[in-house]
Amino acid sequence: MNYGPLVFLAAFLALSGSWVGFVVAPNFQLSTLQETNTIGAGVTYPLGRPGLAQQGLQVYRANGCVSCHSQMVVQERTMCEVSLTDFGTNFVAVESALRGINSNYNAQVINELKKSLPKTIVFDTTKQKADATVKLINQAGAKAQVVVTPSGSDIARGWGRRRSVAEDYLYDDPVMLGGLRVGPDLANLGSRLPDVNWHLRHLYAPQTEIANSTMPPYRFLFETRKIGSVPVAEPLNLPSGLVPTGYEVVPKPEAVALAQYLVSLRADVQLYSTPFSTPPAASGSGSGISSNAPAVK
Amino acid sequence: MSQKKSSPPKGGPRTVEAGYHSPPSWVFPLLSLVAGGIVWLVISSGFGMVASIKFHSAGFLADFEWLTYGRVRAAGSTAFIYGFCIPAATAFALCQFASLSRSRLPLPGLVLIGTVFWNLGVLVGVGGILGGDLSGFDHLELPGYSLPILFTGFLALGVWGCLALHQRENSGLEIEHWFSLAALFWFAWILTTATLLLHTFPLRGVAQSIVSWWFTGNLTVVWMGLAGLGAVLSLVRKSTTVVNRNLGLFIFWTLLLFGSWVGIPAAAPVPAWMPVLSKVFTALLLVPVLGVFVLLARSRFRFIDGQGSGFAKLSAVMFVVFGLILSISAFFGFEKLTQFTWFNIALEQLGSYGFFGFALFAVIYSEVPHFSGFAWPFPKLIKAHLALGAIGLILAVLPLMAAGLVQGLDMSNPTVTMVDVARNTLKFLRPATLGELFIGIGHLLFLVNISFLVANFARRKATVLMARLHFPGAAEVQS
Ligand code: HEC
Repeated sequence: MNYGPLVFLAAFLALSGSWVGFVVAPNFQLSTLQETNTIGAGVTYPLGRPGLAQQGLQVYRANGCVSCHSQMVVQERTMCEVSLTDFGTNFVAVESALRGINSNYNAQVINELKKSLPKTIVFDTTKQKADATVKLINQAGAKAQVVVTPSGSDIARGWGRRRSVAEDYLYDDPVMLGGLRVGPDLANLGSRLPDVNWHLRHLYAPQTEIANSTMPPYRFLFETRKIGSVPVAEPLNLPSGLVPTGYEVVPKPEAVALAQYLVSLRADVQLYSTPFSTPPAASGSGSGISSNAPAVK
Repeated sequence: MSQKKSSPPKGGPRTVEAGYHSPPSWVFPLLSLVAGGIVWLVISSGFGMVASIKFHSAGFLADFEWLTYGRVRAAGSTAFIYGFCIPAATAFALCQFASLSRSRLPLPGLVLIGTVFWNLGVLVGVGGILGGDLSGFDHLELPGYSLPILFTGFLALGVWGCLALHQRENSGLEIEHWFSLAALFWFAWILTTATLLLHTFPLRGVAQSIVSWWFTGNLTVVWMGLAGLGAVLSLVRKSTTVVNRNLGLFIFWTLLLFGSWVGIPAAAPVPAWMPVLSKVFTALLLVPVLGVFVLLARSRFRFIDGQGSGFAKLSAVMFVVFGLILSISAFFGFEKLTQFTWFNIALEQLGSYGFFGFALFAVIYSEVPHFSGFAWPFPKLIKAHLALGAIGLILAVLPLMAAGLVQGLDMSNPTVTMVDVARNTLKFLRPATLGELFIGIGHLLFLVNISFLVANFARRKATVLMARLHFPGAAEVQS
């Protein structure tokens, strides 16, 4: 019997399954993705990167930085805690509420607690339990709030305050998430290293900025010129010995664009899908960094 | 190796006899497709070596923009996948289909066009990558402008394959033909999809990454699985118990059904159902992998005698090992440890080189003498290639896996700085570089063999042509 056509048809169906699932469906699900509002400031997120930073993205692509750097922060879990912020006046009611949470709370412990508010009273619990506790405390006339803390080794390394989400990449093309971390994750690079000149020096000679760095240098993004031959905006301020005397190192436009892109990498705003409770400090620090994220620091 | 160049090679199956037996006209283009692939193979290991050395001494060749790490690495992997794997696997599939028919096959020019366009596309692509036009998508680093050239080439080859298949004498197909045919078809599909959605009409945001992961998974698991198993199964000795047709079909199905969903990493910033689904199907890959194991066990692990049988055995073992590690690593939160580490690079190398590369070496060594009519000029080099390849693979993969585990443990401990994380892996990367060197030397031997074989072939063809000019009526057997 010739079951050729049958095999062919079935193979076609089997394969088109994943095509529908991973090509067509995400396109529908994510095509409706738009800027969202951030928690707190309520500003639109993300904004497109400024022009120079967008050119820098292309320099990042052209030199294959993605083969050593990822741009996605992973969050292992979210910890919920309850923090007591204000004791209120009704000692007896609050005391009995606290006892209900933890029988170890006797009058002496509570008096200690009262002196050093805000204080975490429930550690590492679920969102529902935390909400219930807060309700209980508030009913007793005190004030408490839920503290949500994303955790995981990426966050402990300071690579971000929350996990990365699809919104963070809305305006990038190409999106380069990366799969190998030879160097650090760069999703929030601009938040921790906001100095463009640091990046230029690091790109020219990584070891000058980070001892024992194994990152390859990108000297070809710079020009070494005789001092005074052409008036330039700003030569690099490199340690002596790297450049022959009488010469200066000047970043090419690609290097400047790349550095602008690097400092624009900031995906640290709170979204409704990724809450975290370290309250953002008052805005308007005016660091002058152009980024795709509203300035919150 | 002491063979004189002037004397025609002796031995080997169907060596050209006296008289003018000239092979059909599609043979030469197909042979060039294979030979071109081997040239790219050597180029890819050259780039691979440069990239590896840059790892140990970051300043190596650092002033050449076109040799920067990211570009060299991408050029190397592109030369391997698009320069060698795809044309070699396609050549094998075409050869398989052509051998089903004894009549003269139409339009041999299509094979020539396909060969020329494909290699031109790879050349433009690798040149573009070195020039800074790499796409930034893993496994599809080729610049957008090289893809239409490649696609044209592939289309020409694919159409010819279908024509050849259409002319076959028996209507039933063996199971390995199904594997090869599905591989051709699916590659055309995934390449078109990725070209359209990543280059022509680029999707927005992470939808790009999803398509890119889907492409990678389908290329390295489904396409390589289909084409590689098609090659290996064609060399399994079927005399003992007929390779069970139903078992073969079962493997075929489950590989398509489960394999095509593999590849979305657990940590991906995408809707949560995607990584979960991907993980479930990765675990289910255990089914076709065990199927292959049973099939091999039933045929008592015996392969058709041929110069490639050593590679075929290794390849079959590597498929099972690769599949087991891949599917088992979907359990026990293993990927938490190995994500973003060298472990995944090593695993991929095990699959795409240990299984797939070796499968191609096996069929090339075994089949080229049959379809070209010329024996390998230096049989000893084949043995040397096998030894170098096997040692090189072990040296390249095992330390890299160890590096990945150490890196994963280090990274999960935030007190270890990333500089130290990187430095702690270096002692493992050194033997891996040595492994790559062995592999690269093996490729050079392969190139020597195929070059002399092609030269012999061309010389014979020229003689035939000359004879035809001088004695137009001379007997000629065209198969
Ligand atoms: C061969 C792998 C490799 C490549 C390619 C590479 N890097 Fe790095 N990168 C590293 C390593 C290792 C570190 C950690 C040591 C250091 O900070 O210098 C690092 C660190 C960094 C840092 C500092 C991050 C931090 O949090 O301290 C930045 C910024 C950076 N790289 C940017 C880039 C850019 C931009 C490119 C492409 C032009 C690039 N890297 C290419 C390996 C690489």
